[in-house]
Amino acid sequence: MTSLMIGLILILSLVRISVSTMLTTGGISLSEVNTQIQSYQRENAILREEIYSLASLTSLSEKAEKDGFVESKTAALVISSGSNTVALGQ
Amino acid sequence: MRWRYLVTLAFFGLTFFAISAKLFYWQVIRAADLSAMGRAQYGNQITITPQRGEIVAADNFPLATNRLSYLVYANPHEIKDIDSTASELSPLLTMDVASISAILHANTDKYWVAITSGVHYDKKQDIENMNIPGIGFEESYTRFYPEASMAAQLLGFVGQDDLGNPKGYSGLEGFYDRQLKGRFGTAVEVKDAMGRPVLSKINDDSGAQDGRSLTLTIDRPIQFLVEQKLKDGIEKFGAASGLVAVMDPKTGNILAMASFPSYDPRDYAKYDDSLYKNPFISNTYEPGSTMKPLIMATAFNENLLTPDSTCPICSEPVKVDDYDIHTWNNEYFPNISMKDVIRHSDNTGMVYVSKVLGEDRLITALNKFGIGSMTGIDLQGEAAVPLRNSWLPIDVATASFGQGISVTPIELLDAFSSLANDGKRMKPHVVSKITTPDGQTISIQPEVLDQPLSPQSAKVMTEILVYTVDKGEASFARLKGYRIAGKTGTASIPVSGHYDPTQTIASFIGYAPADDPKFAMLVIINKPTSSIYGAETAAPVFFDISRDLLTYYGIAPTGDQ
Repeated sequence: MTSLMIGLILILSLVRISVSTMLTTGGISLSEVNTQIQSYQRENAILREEIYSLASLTSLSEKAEKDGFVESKTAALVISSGSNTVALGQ
Repeated sequence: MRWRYLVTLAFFGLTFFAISAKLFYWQVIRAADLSAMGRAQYGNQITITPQRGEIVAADNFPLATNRLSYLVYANPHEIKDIDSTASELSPLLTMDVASISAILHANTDKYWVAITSGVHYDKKQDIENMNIPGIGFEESYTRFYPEASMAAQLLGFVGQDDLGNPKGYSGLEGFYDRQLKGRFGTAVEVKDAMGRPVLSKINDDSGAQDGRSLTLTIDRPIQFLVEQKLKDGIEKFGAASGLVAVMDPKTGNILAMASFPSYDPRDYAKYDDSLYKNPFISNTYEPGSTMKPLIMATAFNENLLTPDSTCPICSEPVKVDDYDIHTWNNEYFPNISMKDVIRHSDNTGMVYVSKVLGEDRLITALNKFGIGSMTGIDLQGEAAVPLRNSWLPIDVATASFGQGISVTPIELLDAFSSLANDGKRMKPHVVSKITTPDGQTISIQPEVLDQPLSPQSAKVMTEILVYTVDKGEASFARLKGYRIAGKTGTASIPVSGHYDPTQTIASFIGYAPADDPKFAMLVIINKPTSSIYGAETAAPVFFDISRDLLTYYGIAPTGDQ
C-alpha cells in the first residue's frame, strides 16, 4: 500500500514537472508570437499612414499643381444615354 | 488550581483574539494591497490603452485616424553628459537644447523623466540609431489627419481629460467621444522565477476595447471643393470670414461643411480658442432676405396669397409703429406681385405678407421651420436663440424679411431645405454609420422633423426661386441651362442697439436641380469689403460651387435658358 502511494506521488510529481515545463516553454513561444504580431501591427500602421498621406486629396492636388495641372473653367460633361454618348461643354 | 486555569484560558483567549484580529487586518483591510504586491511578484500589470475609433468620410477614406507615435523619456542616472545629450536630441525632437537640458538637470534624482511625446516613428528610429545612453521610448497611438486641416471644425480635436487620458472636444470628437474612446483594460503578464513569461489565461481578460468608428455623410471631394472655393471667395471679396454647408435635402445628410478661418487639429493648442467652435452650428446672425421665401411660402400654404397677388402698400416706405421700413435700394414698385416681391427682395412687400399672415400664423410657421430651436445635428456645440416671448408689430414686420430674428446657419439651411423636399424638414446629421470593433454596424436613418409646407406650396415657391435666380439681382452669376432655386441675403449687423451701415453678412441659399434637388447649399460671406451685397459676393461663390457639383453628380443642362 505504501509503495503504491509513493509510486502515485512520484507519477503525479513527474506529470506536474512536465506540465510546468510545457507551460514555461509555451509562454516563451506565446511571448515570441506576441512580439511578432506587434511588429507586424507596427509595420502595418506605418504603411497605412504612408498610404493615407499619399492618397489624400490635399496631397494629390499639391502634386497636380506642381506638375502644371490647372482647373478647367469650362466644365465638360459626358453623358451616356443608351447607345448615344453626348459630350457637352459650357 | 482555579486561578491557573483562568490565567491559561485568558492567555489562550487573548492570543486567539490577537491572531484573529491580525488575520482580519491582513485578509480584509489590507487584502487589496497584498493582492497587488503578490501580482507584482509573479508578473507585470500592464494598462492596455484602447485605440480611438476612426472617423471616415462617405468613401471610407479616414479624415481622422491613429498613427504610431512615441514618448521619449530619459533616465538621468544613466546619462553621462546632460548637455551633450541635449545637443544631440535637440535637432531630432525640434526642441531647444536649453529646454531639454533644463528638464534633465531638474530631475537628476529621478529614474524616469518624460522629455516629449508624439514623436514620429522615423525620428524615433533616428534617435535609436544614435545609441544615446539613458534615452528610451514608450509606444502609443496619437490622432493623425491624412487630409490635414480639412473639416477641422467639423471633426473637433482630441485633447486630454483631468487624468491625462485622451478626450474629444468640439465637433464630432466631442459629440461622439464615448463611442470613439473605447475602454481601458489591464492585463498581467505572468513570469516564472527566472523572469520568463508563463502561459497565462489572465492575459485574455484585460477588458480593453477599442473605440467605435464613425462613417460620415461627408463627401470628401465635395468637402475639398467647397473649402477651396470658399477660401478663394473670402480672399477675392476681402471678407473677414466665410461659411458654406452642402446638404442633401431629402435625407438631411450633410455633404460638406466648411468655415474659415479655421485651425489645424494636429496643433490645436497653437490656435486661439475661438477658432475651435464650428460657426455653422454655433454662431447666430440675422439672416436677412434669405428668410423671405419661408414666410412667403407660409402665406401660400395658408391660402392667403398666391404668386400673382399684388401688394397694395408697396409704393412707398411702410410705416410700422414709429418706424419707416424701406426697400434695400429705395426703389418702390406699386402693386408688385408676390413673385416679384421675392425677385426684387422687396421689404415692403414682405411687411404686407406679415400683415396678411398675422402674428400667430407667423410664429407657428417659424416654429415649424425650426427657427429658434436647435436642429439636433450630431455635432457638439450647436446653439440656438429662442424666439422672443412678446412680439410688437415692428417685430412681426422685421421678422418677415429676416431682421430682428437670430438663427444659426444650420437652422436656416435645414428650414430652407424643406422647400426642396416637398415641404418636409429633415434632421441634419453628419454620421451615417457607427461600426463596432467586432464589425457590427449601427446605421443612422433619416428623420423627418416636421412638415411646415405642403408639397404644392413648396413647388410653387421653388418656381419663384428659379424665377428669382434667372431674373433677380444675382442673375449675372447663374448657370445657364440649369434650373437652380435660390435667394440672396444681405443682412445688417446689429452693433450697440443699431445696425452698422458699412458692414454686412452677405449670403446666398439655394438648391439644384430645382426639379429633383441633389443638394441644398448656404454660402455666407462675412463682412465683405469689395461689395456689401450677397448678390455680388456670396452668389458667385454659390454658383461656382454649384457648377462643379452638377458636373460631379453628372447632371446635364436641361436647355439654354
